[in-house]
Amino acid sequence: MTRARDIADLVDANGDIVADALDNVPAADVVNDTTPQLGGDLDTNGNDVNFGDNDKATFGDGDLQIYHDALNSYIVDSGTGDLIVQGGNNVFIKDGSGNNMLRTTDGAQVRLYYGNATRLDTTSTGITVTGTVAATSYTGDGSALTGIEAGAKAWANTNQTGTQSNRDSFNIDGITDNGVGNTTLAFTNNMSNGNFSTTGQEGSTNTTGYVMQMPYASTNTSSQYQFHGFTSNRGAGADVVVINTAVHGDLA
Amino acid sequence: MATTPQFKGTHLFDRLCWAKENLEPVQSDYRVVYEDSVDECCRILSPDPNWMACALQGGILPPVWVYHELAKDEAQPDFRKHTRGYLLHETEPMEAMTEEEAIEFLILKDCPSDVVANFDKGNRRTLVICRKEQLPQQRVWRNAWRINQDLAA
Repeated sequence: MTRARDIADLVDANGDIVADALDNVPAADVVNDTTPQLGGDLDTNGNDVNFGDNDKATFGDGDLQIYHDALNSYIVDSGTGDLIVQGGNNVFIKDGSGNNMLRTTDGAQVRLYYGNATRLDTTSTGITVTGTVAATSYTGDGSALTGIEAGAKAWANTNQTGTQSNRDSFNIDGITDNGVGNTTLAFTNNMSNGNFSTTGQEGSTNTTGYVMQMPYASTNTSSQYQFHGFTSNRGAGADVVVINTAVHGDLA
Repeated sequence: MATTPQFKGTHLFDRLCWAKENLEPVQSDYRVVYEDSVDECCRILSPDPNWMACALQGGILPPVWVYHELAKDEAQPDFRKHTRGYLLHETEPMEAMTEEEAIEFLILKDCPSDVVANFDKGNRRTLVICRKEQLPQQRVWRNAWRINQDLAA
């Protein structure tokens, strides 16, 4: 076994260090040295640094600790300041199978996954949830909520004059012009059956008074509803400039 | 253009909510004219602009066979309400369609099946696709309109 040289061999009679005195000095005994120190950067030369259970890599006087306790792995920041994870591009958190669980896009959105399928994205205006949102309560004015049970399941602002068309609508895929004042609107998302509730209003800007009727001739099915414009009560059929309709009920 | 989220398994109504918020309506010039009764005038089917936007976008609308399955259920004598609505929501959505493919989709969905199956088999053509400007510009005698067989040919 190599032993450290005697200190007397390292200095001369004047107390100066002898030339080449430190050559071939054996490695320090880091096992028994309770305060070993590095004189420079530690190069692992392709080898690992192994930490046993509960052995910690600590940084900043113990402010940050990284370790494993035989059950779980920990990154613990308990000192001054915040714990910051910063990526040059995207940052991912993945499960044991490599499936995405969280992804941050540099300068853009954060995306959350379930089973590697996107479920929530942050956007420039808020968030986009893909799927069902369940909550014990909501706050806010709710003025733009859609799809709630009490809300309309379909609506349309229809012009029966000219080529019949919708100025705007929701959950309508097509407009069928059946003849004078007679219109059928088909749903994109069917209702559960034909027994839904329809409401409507004739909103013609013409000076002539019009009336509307719906449902017309009981033709409603789960896939469509129909309405009819008249010149007057029990009058002749007439194309109406503005007919507003809405459908309430259960969706298929 | 907004990127469609991965909507498989998402309720169709929620997909339509997303589309309403994120897509610009597309007004098509195509019209479908069909006759389903010898005693009535022809009907004119127009695609809804919001629906057309969904069709062109892709990833939102279910395939047309889903609607046909629901129609079969509704045709049963003991039908009370749909129990297979999940087909609308859980079936893989259609990819982006061209405007022409969307019109074909709409014909298959909203035109009577007997008209679609037989429109060119009788002595009258009972279904044509035309452009909006090919229709009469005035609705005079609208309840007497029939398909012009010369133009249909």
